[in-house]
Amino acid sequence: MKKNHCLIIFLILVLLLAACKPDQPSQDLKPITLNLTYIPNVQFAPYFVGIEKGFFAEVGLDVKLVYGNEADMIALVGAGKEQFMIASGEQILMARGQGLPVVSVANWYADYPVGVTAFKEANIKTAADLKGKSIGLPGLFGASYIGFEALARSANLSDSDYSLNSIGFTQVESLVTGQVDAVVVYIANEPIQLEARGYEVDVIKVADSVDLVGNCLVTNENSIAKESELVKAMSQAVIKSIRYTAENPEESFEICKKHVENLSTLSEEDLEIQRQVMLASIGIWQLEPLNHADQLQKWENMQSLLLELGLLQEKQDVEGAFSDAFDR
Amino acid sequence: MTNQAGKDNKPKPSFRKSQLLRGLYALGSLLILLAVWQLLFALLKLPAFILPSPKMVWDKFMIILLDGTWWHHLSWTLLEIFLGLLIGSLSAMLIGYGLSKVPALERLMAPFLVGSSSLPMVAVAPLLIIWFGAGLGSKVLICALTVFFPVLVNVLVGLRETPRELHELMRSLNASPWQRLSLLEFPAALPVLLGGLRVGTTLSVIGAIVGELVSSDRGLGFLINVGRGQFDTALVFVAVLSLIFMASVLYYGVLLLERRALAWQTWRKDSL
Repeated sequence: MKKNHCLIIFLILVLLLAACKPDQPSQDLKPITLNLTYIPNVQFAPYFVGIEKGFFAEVGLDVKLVYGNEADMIALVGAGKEQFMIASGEQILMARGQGLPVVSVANWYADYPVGVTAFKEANIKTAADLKGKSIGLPGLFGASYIGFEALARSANLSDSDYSLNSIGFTQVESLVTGQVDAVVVYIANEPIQLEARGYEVDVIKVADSVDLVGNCLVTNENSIAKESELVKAMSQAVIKSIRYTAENPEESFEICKKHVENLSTLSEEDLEIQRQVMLASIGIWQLEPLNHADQLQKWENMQSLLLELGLLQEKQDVEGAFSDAFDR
Repeated sequence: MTNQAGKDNKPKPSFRKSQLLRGLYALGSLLILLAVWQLLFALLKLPAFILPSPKMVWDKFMIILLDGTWWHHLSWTLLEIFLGLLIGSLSAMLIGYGLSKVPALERLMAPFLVGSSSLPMVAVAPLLIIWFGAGLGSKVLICALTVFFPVLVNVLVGLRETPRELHELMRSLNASPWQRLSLLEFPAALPVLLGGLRVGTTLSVIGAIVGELVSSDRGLGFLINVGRGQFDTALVFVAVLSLIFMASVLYYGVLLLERRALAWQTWRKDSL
């Protein structure tokens, strides 16, 4: 009886130890962690493509992708505990406002990816139509909140003109079950999910009203000062991966299946929705480097918004928040 | 004497019958739950991404079971829980024993311990991940902290409940500190200690999931995030049901351990 117990405990230990077997690092390549925030998703296709097509390896990097909260990750990059991540423009300025020396070194999104979606019958076609409506958003934080505030201000709406409801990441469910009139969404995700399931929706894009900084490749000032070659290599590999994905969407989607958990086990219908999400994402990517003046304007717009919202206490030199020395 | 003791330890027919009844009740309630679920699915006609049917969930479970995904994630969460339980309960036992030996220190620490036991782990987890990284270590730490307080409180209560006359008896027999611990204090505190471990075990599951939901690339919490992100609610159900199953198995595992470890306390048998 005791022997049986020992055997069971031994087997459990062996299985658990097998669970913590580390990945073998590639030889002669510099191991680099890239924090993507969120979870593995087809929207991150360029990074999976970069790994699988060897674009990171070409520049001597062995990139490991990790996922987690954007605000937590940016603190790690700012503190120098991590070197690279993907973050939205407002996070970069807010982190810099807190003394974290993070810098955008390549633009991934050309447009701010946030918008407001409602069913067609709700007749919410412009930002002004949001007056008197209940609007659901994940919470009073992050790109969704910033994007919504930018949109509302563009239509001269104030907080008393609408009711904001923190609904977590349940925008599709909340809209479908009628809990809110409209939801703040990522324009390349939730509207596609809704339309694919037969719902007719209108989308009001933040980018149509105000030009803000979307997702960027971010590092810290220390890495730029001491390892500029590494920053250049990483930026170039990311840009190459973005372009390749945009030019080869079908191949890229197949590559996603290796990296996005559960993708291969989705039904045909759900798999097609994921493909549509990836294609819609490509539409908002920055495929050619932006000139300095346009970039500066985007950062200035973002700073003005954050100052108005009280999320930045004082004006900063936005030239320090981005660098265009690495993406061209 | 030994034969008599062995005889007493054998489950009586009435005990077996009650165990069988308990099992039947559990099976019955499970069937009722499935029937209500299926009925709701049929009546409400909600899209599958809001409420999938039991069959959809079962099909998803079979897919990820057969392709190895289920075990890949479950084993990781289990590893976090086992390490968290081990570190959390051992450190609670050591610190609890130390505090019980220095009453002044215990009084000093009591407000801190009471306050810390109500620590909302969901608020602290992101900080722990920032400080200790997004890997296994931070999840184990979150688990260990979740387990630590209930076990610590139970160790203190258990040691305090040791009858004073038995302490005096040990003193009169000139027992060494080790003899006092192994022959009196530990056995006396064991029922309360194992009760704390039982609570800690289920809490450790919550601890592991909180950590994984905040940041992870593996584990059942990660699988929940993936399901949510892909509107694959059947996958979310599989992960949540797996968690319930895992927590139940762990709970009954500790209960079994409790039953075995306390078999000598014949007066407690019926209450276990």
